[in-house]
Amino acid sequence: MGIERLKSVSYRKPAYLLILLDALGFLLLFMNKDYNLNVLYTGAAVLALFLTMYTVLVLGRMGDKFIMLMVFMLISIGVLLLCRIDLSYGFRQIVWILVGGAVFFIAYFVYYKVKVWNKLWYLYFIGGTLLFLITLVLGDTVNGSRNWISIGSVISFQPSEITKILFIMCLACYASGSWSKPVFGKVAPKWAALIITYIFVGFLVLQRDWGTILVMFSIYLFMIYVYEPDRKLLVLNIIALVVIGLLGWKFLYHIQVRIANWLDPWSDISNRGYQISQSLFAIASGGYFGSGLGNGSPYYIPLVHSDFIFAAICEEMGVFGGVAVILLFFLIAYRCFKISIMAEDPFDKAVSFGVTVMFALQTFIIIGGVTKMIPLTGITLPFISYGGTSIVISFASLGIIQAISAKTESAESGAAAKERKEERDER
Amino acid sequence: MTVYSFISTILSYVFTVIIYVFIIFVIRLIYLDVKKMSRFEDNSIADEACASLRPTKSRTEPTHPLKRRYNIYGEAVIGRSPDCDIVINEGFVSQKHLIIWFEQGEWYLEDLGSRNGTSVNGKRILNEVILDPEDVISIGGLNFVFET
Amino acid sequence: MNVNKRIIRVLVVIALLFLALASYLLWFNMFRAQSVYTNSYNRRQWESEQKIKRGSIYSSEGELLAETEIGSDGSRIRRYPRGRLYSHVIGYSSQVYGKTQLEMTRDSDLIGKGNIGLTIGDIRPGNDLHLTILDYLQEYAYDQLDGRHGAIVAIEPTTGQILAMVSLPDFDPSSIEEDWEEIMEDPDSPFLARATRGLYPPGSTYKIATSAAVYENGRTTETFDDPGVFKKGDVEVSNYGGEAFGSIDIKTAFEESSNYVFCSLGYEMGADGVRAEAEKFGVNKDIEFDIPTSKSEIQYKRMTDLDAALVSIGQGGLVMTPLHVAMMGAAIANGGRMMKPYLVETVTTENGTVIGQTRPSVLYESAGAACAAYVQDMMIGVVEEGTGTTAQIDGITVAGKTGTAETESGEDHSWFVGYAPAESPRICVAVLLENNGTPGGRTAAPIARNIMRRFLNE
Repeated sequence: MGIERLKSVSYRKPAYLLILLDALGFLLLFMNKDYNLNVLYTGAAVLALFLTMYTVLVLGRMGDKFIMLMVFMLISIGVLLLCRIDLSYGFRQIVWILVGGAVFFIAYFVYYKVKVWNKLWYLYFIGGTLLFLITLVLGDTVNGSRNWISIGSVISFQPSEITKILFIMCLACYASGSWSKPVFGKVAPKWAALIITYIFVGFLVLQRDWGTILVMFSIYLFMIYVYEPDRKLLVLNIIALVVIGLLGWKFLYHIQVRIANWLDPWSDISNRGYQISQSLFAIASGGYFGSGLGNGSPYYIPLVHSDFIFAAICEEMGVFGGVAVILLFFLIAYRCFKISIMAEDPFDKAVSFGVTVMFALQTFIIIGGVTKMIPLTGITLPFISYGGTSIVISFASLGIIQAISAKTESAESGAAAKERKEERDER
Repeated sequence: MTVYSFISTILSYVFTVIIYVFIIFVIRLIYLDVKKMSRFEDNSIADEACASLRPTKSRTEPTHPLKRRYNIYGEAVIGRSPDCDIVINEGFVSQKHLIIWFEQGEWYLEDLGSRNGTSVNGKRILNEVILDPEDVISIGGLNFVFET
Repeated sequence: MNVNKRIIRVLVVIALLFLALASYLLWFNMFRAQSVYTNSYNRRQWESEQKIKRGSIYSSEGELLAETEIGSDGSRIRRYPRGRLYSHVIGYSSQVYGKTQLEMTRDSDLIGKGNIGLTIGDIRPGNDLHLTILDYLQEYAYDQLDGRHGAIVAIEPTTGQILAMVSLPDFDPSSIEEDWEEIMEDPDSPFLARATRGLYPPGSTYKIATSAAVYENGRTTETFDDPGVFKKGDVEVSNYGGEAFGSIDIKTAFEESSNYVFCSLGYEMGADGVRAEAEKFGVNKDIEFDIPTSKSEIQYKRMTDLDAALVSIGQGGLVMTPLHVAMMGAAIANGGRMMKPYLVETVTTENGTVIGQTRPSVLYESAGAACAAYVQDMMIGVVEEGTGTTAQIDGITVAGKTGTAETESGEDHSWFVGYAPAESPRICVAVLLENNGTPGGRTAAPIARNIMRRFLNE
């Protein structure tokens, strides 16, 4: 009994472990990359960023303290793997994480301070639609999906990532009940939300971005499951999903190919089954503990730095490493759900719920896809995959979640202050 | 096997251990956090190892708002450091000011060598003391009622 | 609050999804990873083999069966000094066509995966496999089969060690890349390891299991009036050659292989009784073995009592692998205990340190000791005075059972399963001659006798 035992409950211990992992990992890669100092700079940048953000978060009382810890564990694993695959990816990723960190704080403060988010559903809808239209006109096709926009030759981004957030905010307006007036005096919000969902899904079909369709539509379904008292709507939407899915399977070549590859990638292994079979080879070669960083051959996996990075994690860090990543994502989802449950403002509750479902589903869909548990749909793994849009949007969403968490916490102590004031006045 | 791949193989086990220990720590922290909240939300759970501090009339006005009550589960360190179970962010509170813990049916309090000291029912304490319900604990100028 | 309750339900759904993800990953690693990894399109395995020297494989006597030679240019050649003799045991290892049999299932041993240690130089040796197979017996069995399609499995009843295992037709594992097209198009399917993957009706050899059930049902003393043909519903089965035995007890019925008596017994035991007995001997269950095996099974969606009559004499929907028939005989030889079969006795490092050893283990308690003794007594009768007299060895008691299995598509399969010496069995042999068209007692039994005699004289 005494202070020693208390130390083990400290918040610092996991942080030390994270630092240890990064230190060992980047030193190892330093060896692997012929003592290229850039590796060490990258590692130092990850650590500096972690310490800065975590300290600001804790001292600034910016809500939940666990999520950022786990997010940085994922980021560390991701950057280690990216550096190992190709140093230039790791280096650029760090820049994106830096931008992401800034966006995190901006999103936090903007969301925290602005109070009218729940009134702006039409802006979210218009914004999302505009992004879609821009993509359709200017978009580039990458990996079969027309969902990229390039500005000049340097910056390219996926507008659908931003649309997801706008979509969640829009749905939250309706779910929280703050959007109660019928549109054009006729269309009730629940039907308007339905129409908006189907419009967005329709745009995504044109872009052939199946993964995002799956995420968005699931968010909508979960949202109406939780909030819509009219159960018929949920049932009808599930029926619609099944019917559309079956029609897609029957008539859309892209979906047929995906299903066929999922059922049997081996029969067309050198063409359509190539991606998934290479991913499975990588996972199968890792065993429980992996080959060790730098010992495997992840470069055989196509798109290994983005969609398929989980396969590389399994190859070099083992199935246990993969399971750890799954666990971390689950714990993050758990904390976010908790924030959503604790939130008192209905709009905050709905937004945090939507963002959480988005994180969780995105993780499930891509990890399930690369392990061939479910059909593969290209989508990035939040905080781990290489990519500016993915990282920045993930951090922005996290900023919103933290803001909601902080609001709840300060509401608690705010209530306490009010009570004390009343007590004093009585006196 | 080259030296590099040897080291890397060994480290693959080390990494796995580090990540899982990390996860266990986080789960433990989350568990404690959830326990804190759920125990006191649900009054039906009677647990003798639960207590709370309720801020009461004080000589000093706090510069930061205090919570309605601070819960203690088994033990709690109170101080200014964010590592403490109960954080009171005031200049006159030491980083780790005092500790309260439950042991074999009794609640104990001990000052952790704080600069401004701790008083119980107006008496400055030197050694560890046994707490009774409704005792008033003074940290600097702030008073708290100990409730079980 | 209603909303919070539902959010918690969504959380539970998400938790289940993630749990499924993690379990799937672990399952994949445990049960799928090996076969995925050894896919010939996986460039990793060849990459890792560039850094190692694949381990060798030796017979029980220490005869070299497979080794890798590294040319001066770093190229690897997998050599099989015994040629075709082990093609269905060791399989092949080809950059183009992948790996099969032991080369596949023991790949991680052969490439020394998980060996941690520093070596000077670039090339690390893999581990060696030492098999339970006796090279001289394998060669002898191969010659006995003499090019006829079929399989021979010799097993040590007390341990489950495989002493010889031959399947014909076969192929040359050293020239697999040149011969691939030809082998693939061959209608005799030389790639089918008949001993372990071929499924055949076991015919009368299966009466071994049926008579174990007779003993356990306490019906050993009954006599039957055998008219030569079992007729019920649309099922009509006659004895071999249509012979009517008249008044006959079960022992004689076994020795003379009366189908009438055993069909009647099976019909009376009913579908459930016959299936239960079959499952005691491992039918309908996967056999875990060092190389892939097919599952022996009763292939009915719903089995009737008439189907049970057919299964009792090893026909109808019942199919078994020659390995499994040998295990059935060995179970009787071992007092009713079926031992788990194995091929790899030890795994050693290049310099001979043993790092893995297989220990004998019981697979199924197929019959009690008294029951096994009862069946053995009848099997001795088969060789002394029944259908299997051609399996007699001077001065040694042999127990056995012949079989002649009808097929839908061609000539009968000839079967014999037997072991010796009956007092303390050291070897059990099962012989299958595919579509041979002769009774098992005439062709299969002498082959088994020769192999047992060769082994016991050694």
